[in-house]
Amino acid sequence: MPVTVKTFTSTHDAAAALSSDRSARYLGGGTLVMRALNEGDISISTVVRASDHAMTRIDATGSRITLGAGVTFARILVERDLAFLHAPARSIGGPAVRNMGTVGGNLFAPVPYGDFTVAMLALDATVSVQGGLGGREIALDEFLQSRDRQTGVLVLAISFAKPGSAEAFRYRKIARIKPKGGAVITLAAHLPVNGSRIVGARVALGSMAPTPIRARAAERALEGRSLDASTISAAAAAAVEGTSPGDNALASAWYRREIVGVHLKRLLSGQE
Amino acid sequence: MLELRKDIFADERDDNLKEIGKGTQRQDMLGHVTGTSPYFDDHKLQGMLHLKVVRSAHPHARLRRVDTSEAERSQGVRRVIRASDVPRNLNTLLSLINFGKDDEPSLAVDKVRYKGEPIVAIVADSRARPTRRLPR
Amino acid sequence: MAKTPLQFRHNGRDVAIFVDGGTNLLVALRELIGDMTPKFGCGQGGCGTCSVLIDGELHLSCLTLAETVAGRSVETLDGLKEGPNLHPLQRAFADNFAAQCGYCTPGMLMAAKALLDRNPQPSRAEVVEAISGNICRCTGYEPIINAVLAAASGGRARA
Repeated sequence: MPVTVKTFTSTHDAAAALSSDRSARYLGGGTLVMRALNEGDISISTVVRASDHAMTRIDATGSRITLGAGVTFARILVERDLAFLHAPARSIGGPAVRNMGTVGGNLFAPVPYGDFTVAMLALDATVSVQGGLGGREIALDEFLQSRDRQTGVLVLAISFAKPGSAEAFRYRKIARIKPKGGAVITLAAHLPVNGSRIVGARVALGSMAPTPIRARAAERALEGRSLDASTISAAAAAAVEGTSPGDNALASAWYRREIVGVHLKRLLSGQE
Repeated sequence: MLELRKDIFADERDDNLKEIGKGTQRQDMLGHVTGTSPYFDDHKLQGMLHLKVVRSAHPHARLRRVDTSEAERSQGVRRVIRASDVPRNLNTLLSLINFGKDDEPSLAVDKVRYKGEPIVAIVADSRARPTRRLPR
Repeated sequence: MAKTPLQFRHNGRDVAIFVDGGTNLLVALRELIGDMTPKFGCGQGGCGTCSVLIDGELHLSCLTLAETVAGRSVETLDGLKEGPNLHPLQRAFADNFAAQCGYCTPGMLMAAKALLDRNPQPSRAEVVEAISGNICRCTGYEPIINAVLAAASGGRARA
């Protein structure tokens, strides 16, 4: 059944169109919405687009980085200021998917996708959304918890503080097919160090729950400690706490629970 | 002694038969690299219709009710084929050898036994027609 | 429902068609323009055989809303030949047995072109990365990788 395509120049109008129509979906890079349409998803009857340039803006000059929701992974890969995000951006799809897929769309990508969002979660990102009534900022953590109810809002941008050092941010995607494949699990950690102690540890996991989640128990094991062998072991042992992975063709829930600590240990100790 | 009539296929190949040790180009290669090799999906016939199959989302489930009303109302849909429309599956190996026991229906009757089992087939003017729906 | 007029450049030629809302670029190319070189594989971004270049960038046409290419340039395998002559990539694919059933070949060639257009002398690893979004079930990829490398290192010279 043909759908109605509505293109707006202003994000405000696009958001109003989204919030007033339950069957409307925002079209970013197309890798999620067009796929649903190709499969005959009749729950979508309107496709909303916004041509506002703010949606594709990258502001990476200062200490706080803002990525427009329409920024593609290919654009992140050519941005020198975003070198620390090249690993997560490169781990997504093949070149064509990276030319199309967007940072904003990735927030909605179901397991085994959504790797970039795992990186964003470890960076304590904030999502700017525009609803029917107005705009607001919402912590990514909170956004993901209510993701299913967020289809009526328009994601404008995502922002986060730049990691103090290249060392502080780490990312690892476990996939069976290389260089392109869905994730068995995805891990990202942000470990800012003050003196020799970790302050504000963040560990995020993908494919360990229906949405990317924070490994809070592992964060607690890291907080205030120095990153030595005993700290790493304690964090690795706590990695599985609070997770609820599912089975899919790539791995079983059991396998994911078994390996998450192993890979967190490797991530934290810098092993390949 | 059979006489080798080289003149018959004279135009088809040169007959020096010195092929060993040399690469030989495949006949279909030019079509492949220019995208002109025709595939099943590339045929366009007069009045061609498309068939799509609605499949089970569940590995094992009872079919309580199959609601095809929305599909039937959809623009461009010519026919919705249900299990009762094809009571005999002539295409299973067992039926082909007259085994007698025919327990592999073309479309699931009252139960689906694997994820992806066909339930309903929809014939439409174009492939871009909805093929959704289904109970548990 | 009203159809939307759509104009874009298709292999260097201006085309104008009317599309239904939600039509993807692959359907527009195959059914409305009659360019059958991009193939339908999975319809979900997993196989790459529908790959085309949009303004020189590799995209999956089955996941591209047709309307979004308005005014832009779309290149498909149909436009790869240089007049009557095969493009060096096509010649290299033929010479290196880089096609077997041929169904992935249109996408592979466009992915390879996207690579060579911006990186004329890629490493083997770069070739692997460039075609990583394209699935081939016949060749085992090695002949394809070899063909792209052969084209890069002067496929023109090879007869």
